[in-house]
Amino acid sequence: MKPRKPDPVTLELIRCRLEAGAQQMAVSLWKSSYSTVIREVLDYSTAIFDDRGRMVAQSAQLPFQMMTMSAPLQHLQSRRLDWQPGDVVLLNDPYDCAGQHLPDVMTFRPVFQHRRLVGFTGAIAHMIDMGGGAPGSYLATATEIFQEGLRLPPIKIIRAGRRNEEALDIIRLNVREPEKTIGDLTAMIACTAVGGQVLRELAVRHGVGPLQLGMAEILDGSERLLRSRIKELAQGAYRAVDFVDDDGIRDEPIRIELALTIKGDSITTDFGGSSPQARGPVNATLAMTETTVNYAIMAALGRGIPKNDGCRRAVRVVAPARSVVNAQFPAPVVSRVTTCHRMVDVMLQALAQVIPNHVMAGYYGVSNICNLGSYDPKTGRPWVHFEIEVGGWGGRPNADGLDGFSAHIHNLANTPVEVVESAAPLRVERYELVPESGGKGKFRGGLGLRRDIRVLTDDVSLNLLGDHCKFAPKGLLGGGDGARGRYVLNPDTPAARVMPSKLSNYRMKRGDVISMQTPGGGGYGDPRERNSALIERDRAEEKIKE
Amino acid sequence: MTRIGTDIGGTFTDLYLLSKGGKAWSAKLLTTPRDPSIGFLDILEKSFGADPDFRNAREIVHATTVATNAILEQKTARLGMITTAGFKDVLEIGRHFRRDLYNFFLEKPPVLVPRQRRIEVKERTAADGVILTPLDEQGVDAAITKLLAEKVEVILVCFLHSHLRPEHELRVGAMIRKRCNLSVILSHAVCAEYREYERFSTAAVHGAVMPLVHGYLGNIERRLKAKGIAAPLSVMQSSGGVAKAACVAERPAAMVESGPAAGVISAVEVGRRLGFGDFIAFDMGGTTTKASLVRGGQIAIKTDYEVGGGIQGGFGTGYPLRAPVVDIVEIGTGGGSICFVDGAGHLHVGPQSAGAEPGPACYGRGGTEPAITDAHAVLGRLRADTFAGGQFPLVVEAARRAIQEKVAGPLGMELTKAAEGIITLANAQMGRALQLVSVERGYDPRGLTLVAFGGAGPMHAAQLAAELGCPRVVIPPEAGVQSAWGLLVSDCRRDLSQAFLRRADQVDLSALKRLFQTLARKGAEELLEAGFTANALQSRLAVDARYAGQAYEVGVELHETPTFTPEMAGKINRAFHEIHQRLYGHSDTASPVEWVTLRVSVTARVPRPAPRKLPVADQPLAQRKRATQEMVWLGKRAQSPVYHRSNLYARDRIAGPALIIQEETTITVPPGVQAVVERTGDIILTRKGGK
Repeated sequence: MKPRKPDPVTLELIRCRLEAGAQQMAVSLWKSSYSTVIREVLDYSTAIFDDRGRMVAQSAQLPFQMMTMSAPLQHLQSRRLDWQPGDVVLLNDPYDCAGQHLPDVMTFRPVFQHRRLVGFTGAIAHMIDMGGGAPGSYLATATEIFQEGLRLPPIKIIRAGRRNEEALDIIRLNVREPEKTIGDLTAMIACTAVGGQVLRELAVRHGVGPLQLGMAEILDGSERLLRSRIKELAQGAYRAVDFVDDDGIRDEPIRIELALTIKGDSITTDFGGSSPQARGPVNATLAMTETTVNYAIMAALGRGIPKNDGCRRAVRVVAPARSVVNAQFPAPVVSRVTTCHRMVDVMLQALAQVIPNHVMAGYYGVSNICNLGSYDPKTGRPWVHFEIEVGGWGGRPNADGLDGFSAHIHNLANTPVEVVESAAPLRVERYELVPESGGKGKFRGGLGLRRDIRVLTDDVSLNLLGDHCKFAPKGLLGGGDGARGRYVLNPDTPAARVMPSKLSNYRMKRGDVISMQTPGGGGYGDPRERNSALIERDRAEEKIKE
Repeated sequence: MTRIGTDIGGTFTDLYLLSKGGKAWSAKLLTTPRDPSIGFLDILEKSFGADPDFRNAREIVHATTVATNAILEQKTARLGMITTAGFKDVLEIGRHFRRDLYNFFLEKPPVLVPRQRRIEVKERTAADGVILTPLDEQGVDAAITKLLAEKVEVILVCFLHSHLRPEHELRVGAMIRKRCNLSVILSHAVCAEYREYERFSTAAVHGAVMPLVHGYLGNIERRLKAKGIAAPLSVMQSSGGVAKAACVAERPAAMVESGPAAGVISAVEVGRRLGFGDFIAFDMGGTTTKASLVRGGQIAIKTDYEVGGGIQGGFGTGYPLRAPVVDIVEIGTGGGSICFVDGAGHLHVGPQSAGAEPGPACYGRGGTEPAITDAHAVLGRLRADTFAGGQFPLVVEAARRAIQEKVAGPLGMELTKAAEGIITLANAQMGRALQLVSVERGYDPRGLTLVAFGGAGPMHAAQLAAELGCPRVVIPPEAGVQSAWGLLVSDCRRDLSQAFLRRADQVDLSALKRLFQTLARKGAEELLEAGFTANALQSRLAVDARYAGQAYEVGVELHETPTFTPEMAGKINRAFHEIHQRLYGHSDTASPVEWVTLRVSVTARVPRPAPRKLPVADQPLAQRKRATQEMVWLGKRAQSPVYHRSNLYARDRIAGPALIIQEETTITVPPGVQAVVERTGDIILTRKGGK
């Protein structure tokens, strides 16, 4: 007998339970992980998939990880991997199995009911280090993926319930902080079991067939909703161009070009005209480009639509092979997010031509990564400190950009000063908003941040991945640009030195200070239309000078 | 001696009075939002008629939402802050993480101290407690001058690492007091824990409500005195313990969750009189549902609470407040939650609520959107004439119309099927809240009892219990004014904490004992002053522990008097591994454990009222039936009896389907469920054939 599609009540029951299950996985992962990247920075996501590897429910802390896991999972399906109950597969490689960059490790668990595959659960999390040429695996001078760390094809890290100790030993030997990394992997594996339990309960309660039909309808529903929104937009082709400063190797701007076409109930984003694949690690693979496009579409048009793989069907992404937005082996990718941030910018610049009242001006647009690492002189053990900062939001149609707050594909918590200082030989000297850094406008851009860190030991490796130090975040509809970012060694001293935004293994001496100053957002609208009360408030708060 | 509990909620002000002879009396009035102390006095006036002994009341215990509302409505104090040079923006930057990922129009809650009133002074302590830069006292003086010119009401003193070494904060506190009599809050004194933003925010939240709470409590005490009522005023804290009003005024944000905490405590007392300790307290009102897990008669406490973070709250939503708060999960499903069909043809319930105005369609006040209450009305599970104490009759026809037009029609479903579907979805959402408090905390809800109260709780409890596999539901006689009653059965409590950060295997137990005794003594002072004797006090130890290298901790409570022996340390560590395994699915007894924070709670037991002794009826149940009404269950219609709770007596047994109505709530007894009245007045629902 063919299973029947669940009625509307059952369907909603299934959807709520799946979303709750993904959330439950996220809580489990967060609370039991070891590294500050997951615990404080919250760089992880969890999801539940149907039996064809399509994401049905996700708990994303970071929108950049929304919809990143279905590509590798579907890849595994096409490889005809022999899934068995009690297996967990782990992977990270962007070229072998559609992963993201090497520090982002994914785990997948198949879920069976009476030996019938019901679906999958998965987690993605950023490891504090996956080996390679720099602490934290952020080698700004990498020119091949081999320099970026340990590449993992799909490995059964748990095979029929048994841990694959040999594989874990390989990882342990290749990473700088093995306890944290293995601890985090253990937490990731455990959280897939939490989601598996939820999926199994649903299968028992509703039957595998009806559950799968329900999951398919959840995807279809999101697709229908998104298509109906697209249909209301003005048809046409909308173009935008923006630039990444450079790739850290060659001092040349990298062009990101977009033609966004709205036709009927679908959108095509064509990145033809973008720069060729870069030598340095700012390349994005097609999977990363798709994730970024989907984020921008869902943020601009997807209010209230359940976020799942159904949403992807209304959007087509075209990107020329061997370009910076569709990099091929063996291009380095660790800093892909730099290019992806700029893709968000061109997406919003194009959408601003259609829905100017639903977008914001250019934001800080860079992940501001500053990794410090060395070896403990007493124990000889390596330590890594992972700093990641945000900046100003772009001005908005009805309000100023938020000051110093996570935006768009980026969503990260800072590490408390008291945690930094009790965990590593570092001292934070200041952490503050940068006045005057927001672009002028009817609604000004948000302020960038400044965070100064002094190293208290010799021979500390400094690694930077920044951008927007040459090209500023753009204002919109007459608004001014936001302030550019900069990285200064020993600021406010005669020896002060502006550092390149992409830097690897610079050796800092005891007492040196690295100052990160992040970009402010661009303004929205004509500054002459700015309300005088807002100007007064900014003056009183010393967020602007006279 | 008469004792009185009053609970001021968003919509209603409740009172529960217990008089000398064990006689009880309760009342419910609309809250007076402009000045809630007026409603407080009004309801006391009302009780005056009920109990002539009222003026001699021994104690008035109070729960209120005034502190929470002040934060939500941004009616906070004018604050100034003195902080470490380089860090004045810590409070504004926060943790810069957002919960709402896809919203370009997001706004952060406004910073409690604006930038121009956050003044930096030179001083610095290192992570090991060493002072790197001495305090610049001239700078402090200049900062105080500036803040006085800014006419601040409260000054916060917030320095880095002050939880390890508070000298600089203490010194600045003394300097401020020398110059003025403004209230001062030192961050280490309200939160001796690490993570600077959370500690500074805790200081700011206390400061933000301090003048208001002082004024509010002062008003009430003055008005009581003017009426010749000498009874001392006590206040419920979010921890589930009561404290004298004057003490809570020192840490005013301690009362943010006072009403909900009283609800959970009341459920503990219900469990105690019926002889069970493991249960879920389930409180469903008009706009939200709250649930809390109780194990072994012990409430669960959380310490990572955020104020004003909306219903679901959590990290990155509101203002962190590091203080013990009863672990309550709240979701946006209540009787007023609106049901709708989206553009994809999918049915949803909530989170929008019809509120009190216009309310669900059946209120007949112009509401046209179908709410959960409307589904009950359509299915005959409410009495049109006695809803909400008979304040207004329900318009069942309006409910039918709303559900037909907005749900059943668009989905092509039969009306009652759609209504039953709505209730099924609502139960699933509340089931989710109940699962959050049980499964996610590592407990199986099967086997747990559900203690149900709140206006809508008893209407959903039986079906919810079936859904979760809970064997029984208890509906206390006070279900309509549960929190007010809970105030009268709560112990007095004082909580203190101190950052500790040590490897568990390197803890010096005698030093730990000294620290514990210092904190316990500090906690005891307050309770001794409140008139308790030293031997009525109980001090308990809890440790926030983690595996070395982890960044967050889990709380391990020791429910007995600490001995400070290696056995005690071993017990704490074993419990830590167990809790970690239960919460997160893995543990590692070989990994080193760190003790991060010590928590000490000092409690004084308040005598409980004697339980009621309901007599057995002298008249058969059938003769006490109020009416019959047609109800729909699983598509079948059946004439079902309706009883009034005041006509029910011990050992009465009612087989579902039936309705039991009482003031402020209705108990739904579904088919296959049996309601039994206990001597204590509690009604217990069990599935027929079940245990």
